[in-house]
Amino acid sequence: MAVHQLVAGARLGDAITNEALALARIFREWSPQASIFCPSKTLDPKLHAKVMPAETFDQIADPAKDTIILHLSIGSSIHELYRNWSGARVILYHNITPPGWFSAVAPATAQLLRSGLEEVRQLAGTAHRVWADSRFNANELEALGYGPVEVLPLVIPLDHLELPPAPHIRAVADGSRANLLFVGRGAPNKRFEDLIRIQAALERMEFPTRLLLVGSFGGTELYASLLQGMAKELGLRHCHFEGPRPQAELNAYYTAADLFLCMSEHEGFCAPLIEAMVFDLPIVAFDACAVPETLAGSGVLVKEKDNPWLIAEMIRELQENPTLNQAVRDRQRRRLSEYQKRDLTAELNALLGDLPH
Amino acid sequence: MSTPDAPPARVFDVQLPDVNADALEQRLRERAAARAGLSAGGTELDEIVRKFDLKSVRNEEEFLRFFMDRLQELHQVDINDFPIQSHRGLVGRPIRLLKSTLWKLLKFYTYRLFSQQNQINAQLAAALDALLRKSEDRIRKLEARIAELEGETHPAANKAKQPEQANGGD
Repeated sequence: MAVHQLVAGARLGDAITNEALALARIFREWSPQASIFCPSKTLDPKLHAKVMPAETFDQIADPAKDTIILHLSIGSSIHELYRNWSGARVILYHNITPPGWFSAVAPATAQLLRSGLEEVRQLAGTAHRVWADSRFNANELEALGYGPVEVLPLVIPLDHLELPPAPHIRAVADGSRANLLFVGRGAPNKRFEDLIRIQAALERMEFPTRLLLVGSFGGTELYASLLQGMAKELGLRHCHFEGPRPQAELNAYYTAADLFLCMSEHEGFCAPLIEAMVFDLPIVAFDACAVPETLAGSGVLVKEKDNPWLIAEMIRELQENPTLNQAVRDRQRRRLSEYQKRDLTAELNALLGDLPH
Repeated sequence: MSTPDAPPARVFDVQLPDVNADALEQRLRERAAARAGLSAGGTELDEIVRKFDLKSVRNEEEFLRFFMDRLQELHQVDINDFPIQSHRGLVGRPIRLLKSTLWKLLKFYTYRLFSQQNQINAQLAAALDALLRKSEDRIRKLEARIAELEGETHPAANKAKQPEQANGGD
C-alpha cells in the first residue's frame, strides 16, 4: 500500500513541489514505493531523482492497493491519470488565481487558469477525500459543490531556509536604508503597483527605505516593464526588481530585510508570510483571501490600502518605534511556533482515515 | 449609513494586548494627512499611479493600447546632469568629487551615443504605435465588414438575435 502524488509541474523552489516533497518523505516511511508523478514537459530535470515522469505511473501504481493525491492548482494533462484511476483518490486544492487578473497581460496564462477552473468544477464529487490548504480554499471548493472539505494547512519545509545566506547579497544590508521585501512571482494579483506606490510615498517623505522585489516575471514580462516604467515615472531611486533567486540568495534577502510588505489581493495561503516569520521580519500585509488565516492574528493587517501615505507612516512607525516592532515580532513568533509544532504524520493519518496508506 | 461623527473605519488590524491600536491609528492618520497635504507630490503621485494601474485595463487589446501609450511617454532616456550624492559622510566628499569629475569627462563621449539611442527609441516607439493604430483600424473595418456580410447572408438569424442583444445588459 502506497500513497502517490500527482502534480501539474515540478520546479525547485515552487511551493506545491516543496509540499509534495515534504509529504513524500512521510509517505515513503509508510511505503518505499510512494512516488510523485509529473508530466515530463513540466518536470525540472534537477528533480529527476525525486519526481517520476507521468509515463511511468502505470508501472508503479496499483489501484487495488494504493491511494493517489492530486495536487489541484491549474489545468494539466496529469488530471487524465487521476480520472482513469480506479483506486482511492484524494484531491488537495491549492487554489486557482481568477483568470481575470491575467487576461490583459498574459492571455495564454488566463486561458490555462480558465481551463483549470473548469476542471475543478468537473472534478467535484470524484474524490474519496477533498483537502484544501486553507479554510479560504476549502470554502471555495464547497461553494462549487464539493461537499465537506478538510483543511491541511500548506506544508512548507522550513529547513531550506537554514541554508547560509549568499554573501554577495548582504551588500543591500548596508544600514543606510530600511529594506522592505516582497517575495512572489510577478503576477498582477500580487499588486506590485501598490508596493511601488507605498515606496513612492516613503521616498517623498524622505524616509530612507529600499523596496526589494524578489520573484520571476517569466510569462508576464509586459507587466514587469509596465511596473518599471511606473517606478521611473514616479522618480523612484530605491525600487529594485531582483528577479528569481536561488534559495541561498533568497535567504540573504530575507536576512537583509527589515520588513515584509505584501499588498497581494489574491492568495490561497501565501507561504512567504511564514518564511518572513522564520526570519523574524515584522509583516505588513493586505487583508485578502487566505492572508488573515495564515497570519492568524499576527503581523499588521491592512484593511484598506487607498491611502499609501498612511501605510508608509505605519512602516515608518515600525522602523522608529522599537516597542511596537518587538511586540509585532513577538506575536508572529507565537504564530510561527503554532505552525511549526504540528504533527504532520498524525494529521495525514487522520485525514486519510480508512483509505489505503 | 454612518453618522457624521462616527470615527473612520480602522485601516490597520493590530492584535497586540499592550498596544492601543486606536491611538496608534489616530496618530498615523494625523501624520499621513499632514504629509499628503504638505507634499505637492500627493496628487502628482496619485495621477501617475492611476495612469499605470492595470485595474483600468480589461483585455489584451486594451492592454496593447495602454502599453503603447506608456511607451510613448517613457522611451526617452534621461541623459541630463543629475545631482551626485553620497551618504558616506566625510569619505563621501572625495567619492562625490571623483564621480562628478568622471561624469564630466565622459559626457562628451556618452552624450552623443545616448542621444542617438534616444532618437532610435523615439523612431521605434513611433513606428510601433503606427503599426498598432493601423492594425486596430484594419480590425475595426474587418469586424464591420463581417457584420455587414452576416446581415446579408443570415438576415433572419440576425433579426432573431436582436431581442437577446437588447436584453444583454452591459
